[in-house]
Amino acid sequence: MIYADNVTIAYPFAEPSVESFSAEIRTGENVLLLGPSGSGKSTIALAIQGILPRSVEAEVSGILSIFGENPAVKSITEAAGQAALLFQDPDTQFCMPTVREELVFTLENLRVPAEEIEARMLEALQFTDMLRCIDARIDTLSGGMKQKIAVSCLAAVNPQIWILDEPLSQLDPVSREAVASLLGRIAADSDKTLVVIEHQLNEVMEWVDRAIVLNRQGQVSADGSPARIFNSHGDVLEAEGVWLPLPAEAGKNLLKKTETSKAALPITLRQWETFAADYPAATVLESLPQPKKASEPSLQPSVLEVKQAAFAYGTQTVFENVSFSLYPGEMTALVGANGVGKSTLARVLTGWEPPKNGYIYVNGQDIASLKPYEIAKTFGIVFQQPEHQFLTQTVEKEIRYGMEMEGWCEEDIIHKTNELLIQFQLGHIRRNHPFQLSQGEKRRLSVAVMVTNNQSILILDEPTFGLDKRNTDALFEVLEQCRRRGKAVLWLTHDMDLVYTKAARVLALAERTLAYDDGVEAFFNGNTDLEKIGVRPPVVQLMRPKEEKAGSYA
Amino acid sequence: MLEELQTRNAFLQHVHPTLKLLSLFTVFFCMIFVYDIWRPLAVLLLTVAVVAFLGKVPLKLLLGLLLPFALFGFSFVWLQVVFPEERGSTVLFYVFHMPVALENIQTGVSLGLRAMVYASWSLLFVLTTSPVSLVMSLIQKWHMPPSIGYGMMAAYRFLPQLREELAVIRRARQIRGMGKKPKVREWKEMAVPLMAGAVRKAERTALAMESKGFDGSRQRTRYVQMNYKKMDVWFTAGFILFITVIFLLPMS
Repeated sequence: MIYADNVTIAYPFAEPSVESFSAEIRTGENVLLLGPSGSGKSTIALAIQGILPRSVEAEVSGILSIFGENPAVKSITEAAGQAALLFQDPDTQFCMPTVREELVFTLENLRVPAEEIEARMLEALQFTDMLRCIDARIDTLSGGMKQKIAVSCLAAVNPQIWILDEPLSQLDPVSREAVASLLGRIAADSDKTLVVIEHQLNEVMEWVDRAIVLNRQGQVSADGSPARIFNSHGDVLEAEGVWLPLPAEAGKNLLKKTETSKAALPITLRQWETFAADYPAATVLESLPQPKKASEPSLQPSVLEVKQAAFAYGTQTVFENVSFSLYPGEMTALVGANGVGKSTLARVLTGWEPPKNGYIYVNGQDIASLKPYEIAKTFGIVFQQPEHQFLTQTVEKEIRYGMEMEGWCEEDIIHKTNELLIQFQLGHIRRNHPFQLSQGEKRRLSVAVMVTNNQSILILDEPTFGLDKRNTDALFEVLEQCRRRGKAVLWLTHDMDLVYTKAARVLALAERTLAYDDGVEAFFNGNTDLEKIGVRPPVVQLMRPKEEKAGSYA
Repeated sequence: MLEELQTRNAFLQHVHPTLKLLSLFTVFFCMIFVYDIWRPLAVLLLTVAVVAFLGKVPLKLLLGLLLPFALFGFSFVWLQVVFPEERGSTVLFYVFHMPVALENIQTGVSLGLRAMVYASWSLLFVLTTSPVSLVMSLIQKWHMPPSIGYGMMAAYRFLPQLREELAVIRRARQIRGMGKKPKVREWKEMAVPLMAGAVRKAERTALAMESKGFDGSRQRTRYVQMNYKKMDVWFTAGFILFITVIFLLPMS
């Protein structure tokens, strides 16, 4: 029912982003589109719906047909009734203030008779279990709930084709699981065809039955069952920066280590268990990514000391009684459920918002007594949106800026700038405008500009948001270098697998206070109430052989 | 807060938004020809009373919102007294050898009250009309194209997001700029990331709306019919009476 033959798509004044894409997708299939960033996955998604080239300007050649017809020539309403798109950003998918109004808007668009609207709306909300929010303002919902409302809208339309463009990438682990299982119920319907694009595959592998792999030019390089594709193309995919599902990645390591081979790699936890059962537990354990060892207690004085800090918006307490210290050379992750106040805590730590109670000492000085430029000298702060921080016209000027502000001599500036350009792999684009860079490059630049002056603390808000595996690894490589040079690095994240492998220490916010502050191993060893903190154990942890798991509980 | 007021179960909130809008324009127009003190004062007091009682808006809040306009209105009095076009002959008293004439005070107070009337009627409209019902009414009754109406709704949702984003951009730049407070000139530069973000958001929203089948045409079903009701007859009757008594009768 989705048929593409030799489809090439090019945006105006650019090289084709998709080149001779051919595939046939039958009714009821659940297909994963895989490929490095820039391989045209989203472009294909838009083309299947027909929005491209109907409203997004692009040149499409070749044959593309949905239900035997070119989607671009269908009317907007007809196309929407057949194929619906779910996007990644929960904030920009709505145009009305409340849930009810948004659903009504959707159904009115499709000319659903007024007397049927109520019933279809209620049915859709029942399906997503969001009925209690029918009169809620969409702004007041969490990211996960917004995404569920977006799914409700599509469910109300009830199209045959669901195109999901990274539906989980901006959600916290608990919401990811909820939305993924919701989508899984649609996938289970044999009348529905799903086309899904997603970076982190652990949740969606449960219901995906076919994978199409695109290369950098947007050509199909493999097509078939995911388990086989990860086996045959795993190395290529990893080299291109595509995340493999963790069971597949570990399976690949295990095969390499034991020099054995199998026809297919495991893609879900269940498959992993049968797969790993053939090998001795100790070998299996060795092939898994290991958590970092807790760092040695530092002998140096702390760079940041938080004492009994509390913060409230009006009368609503965000957190209270938060005390901890950061030491030089520490790699720390700050975790917690969506909306628990991680970003607010970061604001308080960096002197943006004064704490309601308690003290924050930076290198022994009360932050309240410091001037903004003194704070800026101590903290490097990387915001979620890298663009917010760019001030100049080129990458090079951007890196020089901080040093010029501090009045370095030209020789030192040139030396340090070149060093940073190499370290952050930005040399080849030094003359480009910061806004033109790719997501990964922007992120690296936003970190690079923050380490130009010798701040002792680096704080990053969701630094891996929207990055593929290669960029994530590259980013953490430089963060690790910063840490080794004696900076205290603190990052906010939802990604527990990242915490497990990259952080040495974990701070967890839950129930309005600091619920955990210790090494990463102890955080995940089963004695910490992760449910209460609102996070899920990392998949890697669940993959450890049973005996070993039992051992660690004892 | 505002939404809660706009959707309260009170008379004014149930009046059809187009009628309220029409009445607003009528009052604005009629006030142009009024130069005395008593009629603007009567209109002002009446409006405040109507908003407070028929719109169930707390009087304290209403007066609080009118306060800045009162200061603005007073500036007219001051202007008329200090820089009159023509100094009146009925000098009441002197301030630092400057004669203060009754006629000038009267003109000033009249102008000041006119400003307050404009403000109070605007508040009547804003505090009792939800944006959704306004847009729906305009689309259904005044033939506003749905593409503009729903576009406005989407933009309305963005406003709080943009404000939050601007605060973040300011802070991010302050950190980069070694703690310097942004100067006026730099506000212009901040607009670049803000606009880049806004354009991207708007594009995404447009795509999402289209994928939900929105084609901007008038061919759509109507779940809520914005029809005129009995309340609207009462409102119209009351309004005509009010205009007649205050503006039309004194002229004849």
